[in-house]
Amino acid sequence: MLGQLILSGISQGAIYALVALGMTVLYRTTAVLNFGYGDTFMLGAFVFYVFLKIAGMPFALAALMTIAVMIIVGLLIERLLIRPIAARPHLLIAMMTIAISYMFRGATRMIWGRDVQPMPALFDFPPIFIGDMVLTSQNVVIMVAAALLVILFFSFFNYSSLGKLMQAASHSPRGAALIGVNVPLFSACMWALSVAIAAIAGILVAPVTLLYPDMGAATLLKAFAAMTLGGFGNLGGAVLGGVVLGISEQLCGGYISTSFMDIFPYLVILVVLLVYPAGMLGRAEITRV
Amino acid sequence: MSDMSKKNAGGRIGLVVTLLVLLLLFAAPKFANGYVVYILAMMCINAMMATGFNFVIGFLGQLVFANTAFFGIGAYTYGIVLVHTGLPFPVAFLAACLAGGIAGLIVGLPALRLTGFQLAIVTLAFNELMRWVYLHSGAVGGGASGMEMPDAQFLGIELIGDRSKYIFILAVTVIALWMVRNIARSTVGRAIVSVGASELAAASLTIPPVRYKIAAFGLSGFFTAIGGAMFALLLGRVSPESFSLGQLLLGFAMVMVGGMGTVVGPVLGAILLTAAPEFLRNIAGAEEILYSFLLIGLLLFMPSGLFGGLCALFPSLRERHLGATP
Amino acid sequence: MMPRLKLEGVSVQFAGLRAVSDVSFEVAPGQICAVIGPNGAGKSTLFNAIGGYVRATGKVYLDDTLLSGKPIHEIAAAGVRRTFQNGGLFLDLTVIENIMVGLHQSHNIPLVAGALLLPSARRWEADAIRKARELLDLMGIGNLERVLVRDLSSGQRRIIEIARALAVPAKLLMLDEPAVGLTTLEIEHLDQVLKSLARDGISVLLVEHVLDLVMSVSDKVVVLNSGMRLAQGTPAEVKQDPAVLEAYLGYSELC
Repeated sequence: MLGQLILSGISQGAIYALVALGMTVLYRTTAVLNFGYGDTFMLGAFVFYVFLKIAGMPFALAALMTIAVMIIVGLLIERLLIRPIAARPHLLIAMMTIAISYMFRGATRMIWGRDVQPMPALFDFPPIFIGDMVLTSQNVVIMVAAALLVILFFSFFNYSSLGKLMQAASHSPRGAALIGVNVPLFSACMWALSVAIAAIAGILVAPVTLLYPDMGAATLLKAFAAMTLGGFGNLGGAVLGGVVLGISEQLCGGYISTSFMDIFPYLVILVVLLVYPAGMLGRAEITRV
Repeated sequence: MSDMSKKNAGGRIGLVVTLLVLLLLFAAPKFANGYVVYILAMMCINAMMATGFNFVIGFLGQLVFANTAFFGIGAYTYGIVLVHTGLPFPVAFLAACLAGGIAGLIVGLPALRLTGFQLAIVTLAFNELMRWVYLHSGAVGGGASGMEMPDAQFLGIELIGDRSKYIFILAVTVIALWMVRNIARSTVGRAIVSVGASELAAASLTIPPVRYKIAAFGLSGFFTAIGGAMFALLLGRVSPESFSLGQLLLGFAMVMVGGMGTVVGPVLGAILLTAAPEFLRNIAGAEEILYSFLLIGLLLFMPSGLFGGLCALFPSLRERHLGATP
Repeated sequence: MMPRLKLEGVSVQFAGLRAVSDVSFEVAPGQICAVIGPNGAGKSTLFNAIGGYVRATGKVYLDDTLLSGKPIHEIAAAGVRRTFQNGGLFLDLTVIENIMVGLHQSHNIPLVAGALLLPSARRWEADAIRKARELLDLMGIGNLERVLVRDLSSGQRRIIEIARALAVPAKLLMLDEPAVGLTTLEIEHLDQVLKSLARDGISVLLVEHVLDLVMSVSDKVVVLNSGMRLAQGTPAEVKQDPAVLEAYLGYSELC
């Protein structure tokens, strides 16, 4: 059973890792913590559902369309809602992201109410058996896709010129502006990137999960738990935290109780931030606002 | 001299208007139907919740999401004391308020070590944790189906039915808001606002930031819990659904719409947003879309809320952080 | 006579950089002392070290009280007040409200008394308002009482910041570049204000680049360079100190 739990945990954790990564990317490069990110992820899943089930597109096309649409949404949000208040206190920008989350949730609720939408299994390949552990094809797709995305992201971050720019900006957004970086364009790119990651996570999770408009909130908290666990603001930490969270959640559910699983992410947040706020890979210094 | 008498005249008019409004509100049960009275009572309750929230998010200027937790702690403490200990109503009510205050102080402690966003996240988690506690409160708190409450008795008067409950709730709200106004115009209020504006500047004037940050949290918990206890009284029951993320965001919207950092603002926001959802309830998602547009509009064009916008137009409306001048 | 302010071997180390290095000097009661030096000499850091805003080694004494290691608000309570470079005023409060915050130490009305508007609270508040008004009238800006600080000029803000810092009597006033952005007339006014404070026995420590003000108002000048004390003495002495001249080579104001 232990192996099975760990395997499910990695699969679950892969999604958390992606969401946490996307949120951390935006936070590190633009200092904006997007409280609407969970609902962005939810919107991505629903948009994919629309393209796949309702428009009847093949998987690859639906996925691409979803990513494209979500990137446009992200760019519009950045341009119309974030940029006008970019100079204001962080409190207000955080509130704007909350308003955005409301908007996404209201929009999906208008169409689908409180109902839950099941998606058909996308991949009909037979599950893989390793010993007495089962790996469904969905699990495999999620883990492989997530792993590829993470590798792709970090290569891009470390070796491309935009990636280098991102590194500079994450150390000092103001410094980056001072050396002539086109801040609005950079900000737009980061939003596009962040939203794209959320969209991909939504695409990956849609086939294995029931979709409902309120799923964003739970995901947001899991992403926060992953970021907190891995070290708030640390990109590698977000991924690591996500996977560790996924695994420990499954272990918790398997060995303690499933109702305990519900509050596991909250407990993680509380324990980490109260005991060792730096998390696994974060900086040990505690800065006060 | 004429400037002073103009200001005194303005103050006197304000006082008369306030008294008239209060008279009307207290007389409402005589001429309004039960539904309107219920809505008025909910406005008072929401006003209390928004006011409590405002202590931390408005006066102290920190993004904190614990208000629904405090609201729930107030409601459940009231219920648990009333149902399980058999102590009289006033004790249960007081216990609820104190529980909220203590919860506030406890939440305030980690606030000192955490950055703005970490604090937001921790309080969000705390909120959800409390809801899980309510759901699993079993025999004590009724679990998922909630807890029914016996009728309350205050000073010999039975508080049955919305009308008598409303009078009590209104009276408590008026007194509590009066206290909040006084605090905002006194040393403690000024200290909290100054710590929120600039911790270093406040410290340079001998104000210990730690003490007043915790005070803001404690006051937030206390006043929000008053709202929670009144909520439990009005409904006659508590159940976990009332303390969800949706409630949290509603409180947040109320403070933003009305105007952060003022006494009138959260009350104004509560009044507006309590009335609104009633006719939006039937259209799925309409409430949320409305709130999002409202918040977005405010954040873009009037971040100081409706009252803030009003004060920009009429500077004499601005709330002083000064006690009444003799 | 005991010095009002005494620094013994004060040093401040930031990761890898020694911003202030073993600085010692004294300021007498009622003395105006200016700290000058090229950019990056460590002047503001020294200020922050005295006030407790930054961790430092060495000892700082106010009269016979050891300030080192105490938190900011305790150092302030001991009688050290300061102004900030970027204005530490509360922009969204009015002038008189800012002064009232400055009166926190002497008029600390308890929470419950204030909330319930008890007679003692009311009396205390009225007294504080009266004192605040007196202070503003003394500074000649009584008419600005209800103006939001955000709506004031830098010169007006500077005066109010000093007024606020001194709302409760202080022993040492530290001013961080008070002349920045002031007109010549305003600088003259500042000069007079500082001299009258000194006459009342308040010691003044100022960091300043505007050397005219420094030379005309100071009783004593301390010169810092690269975190170390380069020279100290009267303005005239310091002006002729060869080490100082060398450090300031290129500075036309001194010559």
